[in-house]
Amino acid sequence: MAFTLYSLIQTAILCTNAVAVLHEERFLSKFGWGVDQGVGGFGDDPGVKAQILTLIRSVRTVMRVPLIIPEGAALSSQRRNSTLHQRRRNQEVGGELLLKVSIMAGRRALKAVLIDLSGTLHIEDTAVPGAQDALNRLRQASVDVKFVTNTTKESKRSLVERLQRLHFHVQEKEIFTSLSAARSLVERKQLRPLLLLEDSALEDFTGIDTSEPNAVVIGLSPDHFNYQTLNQAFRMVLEGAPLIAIHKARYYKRADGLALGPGPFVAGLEFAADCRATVVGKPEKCFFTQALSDLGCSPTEAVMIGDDARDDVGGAQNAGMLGILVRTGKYREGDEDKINPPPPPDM
Amino acid sequence: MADTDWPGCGKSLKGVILDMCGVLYDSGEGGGVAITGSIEAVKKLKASDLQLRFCTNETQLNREAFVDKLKRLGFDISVSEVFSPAPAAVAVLKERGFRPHLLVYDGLLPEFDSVDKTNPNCVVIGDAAEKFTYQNLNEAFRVLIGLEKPVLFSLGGGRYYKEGDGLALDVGAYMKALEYACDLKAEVVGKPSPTFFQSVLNDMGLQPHEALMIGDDLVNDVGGAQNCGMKGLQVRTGKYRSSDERHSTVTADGTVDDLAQAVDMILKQRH
Repeated sequence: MAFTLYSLIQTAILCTNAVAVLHEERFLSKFGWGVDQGVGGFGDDPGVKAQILTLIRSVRTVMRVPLIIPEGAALSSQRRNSTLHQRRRNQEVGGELLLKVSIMAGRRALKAVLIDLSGTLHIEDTAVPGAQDALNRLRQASVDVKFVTNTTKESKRSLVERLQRLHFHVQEKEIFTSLSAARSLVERKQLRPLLLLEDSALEDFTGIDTSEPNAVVIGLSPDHFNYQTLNQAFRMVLEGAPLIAIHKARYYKRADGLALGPGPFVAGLEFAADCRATVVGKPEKCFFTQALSDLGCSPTEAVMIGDDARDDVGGAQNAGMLGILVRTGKYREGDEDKINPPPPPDM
Repeated sequence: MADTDWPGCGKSLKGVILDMCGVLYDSGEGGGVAITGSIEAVKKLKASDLQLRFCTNETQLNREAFVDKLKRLGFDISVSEVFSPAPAAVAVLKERGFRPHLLVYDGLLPEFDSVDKTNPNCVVIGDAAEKFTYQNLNEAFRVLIGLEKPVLFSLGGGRYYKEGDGLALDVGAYMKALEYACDLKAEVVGKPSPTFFQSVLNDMGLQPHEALMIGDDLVNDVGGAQNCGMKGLQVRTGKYRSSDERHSTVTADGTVDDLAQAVDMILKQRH
């Protein structure tokens, strides 16, 4: 992914090409930049605009024919890239992932890569083959990397510890979770939340004032999902306290079988209090924009990589990012069809 | 036209259906307390030529125990006048060959004594109150998700009710939770199901326009009755909130301070 001489030439050709194809009547004259616009009379000092116009016209005249050759070369090299990509499809995920990012980096300014954790980097306590290596190589490119995940019970610290055990080099500040998103919303709106969260998640809310609560933050918390606590939360929400949901998953797989996620409890409170919860995790648009906010990069300059067609890819696309689906983790044949519009055919 | 509007419709009425919790009494510690004037109001209705039935979504006690509780509070009431969801559900279960997994309050279990509960092929939830724990809900969820065609019956679909000095989640909230988890739609037995109101009307032998429903729940009592062609009156007791009078979909035919006022207004029209 090094910045090679070839890519420099490619950029130069692209720019020249861009100038060469500017259309006289359809484009330039509309801006007062036509042939006979902006050019002073004989003997006048040519202004900056006039000089630029002259340059554009010269480029258009001189470069149109010779440009055909390098452009042809560039096109065929791109075609080579995509066949290479096809061939490597069945190779290990990490490599595939990196290849895709590099192809896209060549197509548009890429400043940041968001990566899902479970199912993309690891599955439970096993790393996805090739993922560590892929991450290391990505680190050498000039892009920021962030790790984004929907969790309602794992603190950033415990996530980092698990990743480090699996030999991923990750720092706590590179992790953005649905809990981080909830915290940042609470801080921004200066709320004092009633936290319906497992003890293990409370760490991420250290320093937040929870006295005389005026908002409800709800994650998956079987210990709190009892009649008294849910009634307390309900009464607050009915009186107008905002209901903030870490995410709205219906259920999840536990060692002993399927178990209810936080979603049903959120849906129950929404129904009873006739309100809508603010969901902060994936696939919400604000989750992705918040994850990028401290990187100083816009969604169009970022890609999201994950194994969940709806939450990772669909959500990222909806936020204006590119979304890449990996065929690991929870991926199942046909997941591509769950996104509307579908991902581009070669992604 | 005045005769078809509240309170003019009082003239042509033939029957009145009363919601119980929040209209007759407020629930709470030790069986709750009667709402001022309501014992007297029930007496006046019984003394009039109007038919009277009670229609409740109470699912914490079986009907016998429930009626006993109201008698202790001073109400003149008998089991045959009370319509509650559990007996209606039992009829549906038997008719359609369902064997339920029950998530209901212990006090309600006797209502289901006659129903086969082995190898369940549906779930019935009622207002289970403290029994609505994560574990119990999860058990109900697993039964549903394990069925090829999951069926969920909910005894009532209310959002909340008044309990002691605060509001408490009603069975509807937990019904929604299971609906969301299993991506299904529950069948509501009880208010506001039209079948339920219709069974009360049938018992009185009345047409919908001859009956008036009085309740504290705008959506389930008033809205439900209106959907059946009855008039619906809301009382400002029980779970009533001032925002009910500006509700986006349901508008009561009338709103009165309490049952006593409602009964006085009806009887005045008839003299």
